[in-house]
Amino acid sequence: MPKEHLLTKITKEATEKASEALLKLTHQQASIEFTKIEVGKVKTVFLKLDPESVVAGIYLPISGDTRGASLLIFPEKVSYLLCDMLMNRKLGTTLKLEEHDKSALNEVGNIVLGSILTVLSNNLKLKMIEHMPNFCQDMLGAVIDQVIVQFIQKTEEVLIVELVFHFSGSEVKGYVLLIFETDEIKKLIEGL
Amino acid sequence: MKSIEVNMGDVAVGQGEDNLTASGIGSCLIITLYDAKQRIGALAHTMLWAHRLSAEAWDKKEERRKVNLESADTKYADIAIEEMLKRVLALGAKREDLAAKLIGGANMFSAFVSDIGKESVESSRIKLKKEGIHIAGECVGGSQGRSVEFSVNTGIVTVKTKF
Repeated sequence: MPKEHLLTKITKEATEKASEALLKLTHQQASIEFTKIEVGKVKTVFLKLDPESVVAGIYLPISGDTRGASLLIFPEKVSYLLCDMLMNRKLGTTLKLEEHDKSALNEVGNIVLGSILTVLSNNLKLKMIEHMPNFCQDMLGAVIDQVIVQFIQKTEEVLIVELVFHFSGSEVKGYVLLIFETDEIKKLIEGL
Repeated sequence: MKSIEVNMGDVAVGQGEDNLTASGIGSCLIITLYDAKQRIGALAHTMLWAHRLSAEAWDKKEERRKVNLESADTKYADIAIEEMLKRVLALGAKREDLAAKLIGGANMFSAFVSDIGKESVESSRIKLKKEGIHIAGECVGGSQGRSVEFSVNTGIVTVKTKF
């Protein structure tokens, strides 16, 4: 299958999977769309964004045929809205995240990252095992640098997935970062 | 006056009215060097420590060559410290007048078993001591992101957090 068609297939399948699950979790209030997947050097992509912007980050380690990391990033305001939806609160209620809010957001991370990893795994015929999600809310640069640093000695190339959260009347952009150790990313790149 | 944003893995030097900045630091370690008399400063945005060698082996050039540590890969804190020293001394700074500051080295996600930030901090302290450089201040560890602004004019390092 041509590379472009495979990428379109992956984004479409991941969107369907993640959106269905997210709609259920948020009582039909939020859906998600994966809009683009590309391979790039992470320093280049994130230089376009403000490293001081506050984001929520959900990190999921990966093992199996590929060892690496997945990281979901979205703006701070999305984390508050999602918590309102998950906890059945009036939108705009959450202004600060408590521990149970972070647990709920970890569940969102599980769904979103799990969807993209499952679709990648199925299409590329590579076994990927996801581990426990971990939450962090802080400056964008700070949230991503620890994940990058873990793998920077082995690879500087990453898979960057752009996504959009759809709420009633608005859309907010987020990103998924997928980093794998050198041999595995090469397989992925070749597979894509 | 120049304002220079120093990205991951890079080193920058400044003189006079220059400002050196690094934004959104998590586990990365920012190291500054400053000669207050000459108003010459440097900032390194480091990611790791090149701890592939023991302290004794590090001093042997042939050992460093074996593990490919000869190139100035300043994402490693120990190499960045050497590179900063080389550049500030070349601009006229005096080694005996230099002071360092360390900022960063946080652990943002508790899931990580190895605390890379902490390793970078501890190793940098040892390296700076070995180079005879006094550490004038630190703002390290914890689990918060930081942004750094270093005024070469005054020597003041300002650290900002979001929370």
